[in-house]
Amino acid sequence: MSNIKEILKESSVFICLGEDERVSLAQLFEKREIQAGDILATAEDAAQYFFLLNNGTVLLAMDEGKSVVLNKAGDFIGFELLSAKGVYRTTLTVLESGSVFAVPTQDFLAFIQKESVAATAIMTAWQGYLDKTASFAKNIEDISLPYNF
Amino acid sequence: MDSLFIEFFHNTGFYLWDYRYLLMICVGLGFIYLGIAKDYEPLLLVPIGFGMLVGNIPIFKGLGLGIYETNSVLHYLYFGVTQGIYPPLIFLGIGAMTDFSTLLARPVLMLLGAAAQTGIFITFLGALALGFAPNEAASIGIIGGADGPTAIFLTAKLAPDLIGPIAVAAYSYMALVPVIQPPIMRLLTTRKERLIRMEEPREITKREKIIFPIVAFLLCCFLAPAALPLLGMLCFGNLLKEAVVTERLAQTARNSVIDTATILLGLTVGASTQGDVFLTPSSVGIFALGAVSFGIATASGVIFAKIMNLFLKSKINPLLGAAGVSAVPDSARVVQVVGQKEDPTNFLLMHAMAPNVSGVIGSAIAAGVLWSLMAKI
Amino acid sequence: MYGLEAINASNGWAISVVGVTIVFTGLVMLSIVIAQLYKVLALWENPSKIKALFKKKQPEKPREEQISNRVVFAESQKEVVKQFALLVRTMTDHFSLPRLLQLALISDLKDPYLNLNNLFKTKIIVPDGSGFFTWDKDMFDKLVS
Repeated sequence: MSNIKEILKESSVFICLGEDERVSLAQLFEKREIQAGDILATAEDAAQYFFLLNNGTVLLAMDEGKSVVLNKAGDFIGFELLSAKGVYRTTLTVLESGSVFAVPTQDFLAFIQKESVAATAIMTAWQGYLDKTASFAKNIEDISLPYNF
Repeated sequence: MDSLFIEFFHNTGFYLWDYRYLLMICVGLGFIYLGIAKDYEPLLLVPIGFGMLVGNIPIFKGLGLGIYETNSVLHYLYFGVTQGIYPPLIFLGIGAMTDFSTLLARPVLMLLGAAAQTGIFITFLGALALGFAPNEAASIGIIGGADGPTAIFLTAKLAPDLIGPIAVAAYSYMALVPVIQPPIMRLLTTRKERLIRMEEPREITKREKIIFPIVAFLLCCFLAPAALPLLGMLCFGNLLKEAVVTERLAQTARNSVIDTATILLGLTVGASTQGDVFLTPSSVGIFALGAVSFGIATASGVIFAKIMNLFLKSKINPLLGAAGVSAVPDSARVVQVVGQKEDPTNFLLMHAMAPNVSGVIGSAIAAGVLWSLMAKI
Repeated sequence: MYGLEAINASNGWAISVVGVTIVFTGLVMLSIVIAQLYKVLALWENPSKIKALFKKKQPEKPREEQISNRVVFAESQKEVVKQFALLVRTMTDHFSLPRLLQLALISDLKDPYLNLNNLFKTKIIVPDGSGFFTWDKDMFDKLVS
């Protein structure tokens, strides 16, 4: 899969979006090739992008040595998994070369705040995704509003 | 004034002396010498030896000085012995010091710890045959467990009058492990057997070490509830050690608690060997039977290891059987020394610690069993 | 009373036999439990193995497939994986993956990112569900040793 629209369609976080919403959201994403050893995000840096994994593997390192490995197309690396209050809270390292779709956090959050129905669906799906992928990350901080990211 | 001097002189040790006190003072000095000069169990022999000096100063009754006078300080300290308080505290410290890794790595070696306890029961029979009452015979037999606190604990429960001789015999033979065991070990093994090398033990996870004291405690105490005071404290101490988060408590248990209990136990047990009370024909019998018990325990462990080798694919060095008597860690050290005399590159100490610590568990169970069986007689 | 007569009168033989039997029973039971303990813990740490136990023969197939679909270690890679194993031995049972990566980088292991990823893919390194990871020794032995 290399088409952003296809990945959004497959991603459990965005599967709930309608076609129009998906198209407008897809425009915000930009494809990036990633190489093993690349650091996509560093904790404490300003949070500029969220990422949607196309292929490859990334390691998301959290506080206290916790981490999660993401390697499925459609894995979304954003919200509290990645940032809080405009700052990255975790470090994202590439383990296996591949590609990701990056979305500027400001644009993404603006989209969510504009599309309230879509936002609710995305946040609900996100909670389910987080439960499956990294439930332990939910306890780091209780953040429920998009602008906190 | 003269009469005052004479009265005072009549109260001095020089006037009240008796050859039995002098004899016991000599034994006490011997203990101190063995502890300091020969380094035989100094932490036990020095307090006991000095306690013997304390207990054998000839004193006039009524002033509340002697350990057997109810209003004396020593009597109050001795309360911890007669009521079996100090031994569980010592077991708490032993638990907090002991690493059960080698036992967990090769649990089959635990059987050697069980085999060595047969010495206890054979000596029990011997003591009965020599005319001791069953409760006394059980207390004498436990000397073969080579575990001072266990011997004192059981004797306090079954035959309090014999605490002195039994404690002294138990600790004497424990101190003499390097002298008593090697000839028996060599006699019962061939050179080829002594050369057997043990397999490298597997690595033990932290989780296993934490679970072990809980499982061991539940299993053994459900089987022999009377072993509860000793095994409970041993396993609790070990849990404190392995849990890591309770390191501060473990530190206290393996330092302050065990040291305090050892000092008080050693001193008062030594002081209880008052010549007039201690030097009796039964004490001689206890010493003789204690030596027999120790020898049988050592031999049982070694012979059982040889029997196990008939069935095991990966043979064990039968010298390890001698470590089945508790005497931690001296008997394990003896195994190492005897093994290295044949092959200096053969390191048996780590492996010998497995039967050694299982011997502690085994002797505590044996004590519990004897206590509960005797209580019914 | 002395000798055999005293032993018989005090029921000495029975007490001795019962005593020895109980001591042996206790320690034999304990040794059996201990011998099984690490196997139970290994199952506990890898719940997939418990599931496999109940799936009869079916799980064998996908497991083999999974392994063959993923990575087959070359000899040079096996060496690196063994070095990873040594690093893991210095860590706690439930270790931090970023920390392991950091140690691999400090130790100058070859292709640390790729090899760490391979360990994850082959399920030698398994997530424990709380953000930490465990080392599946059986899988390691199977694929590398």
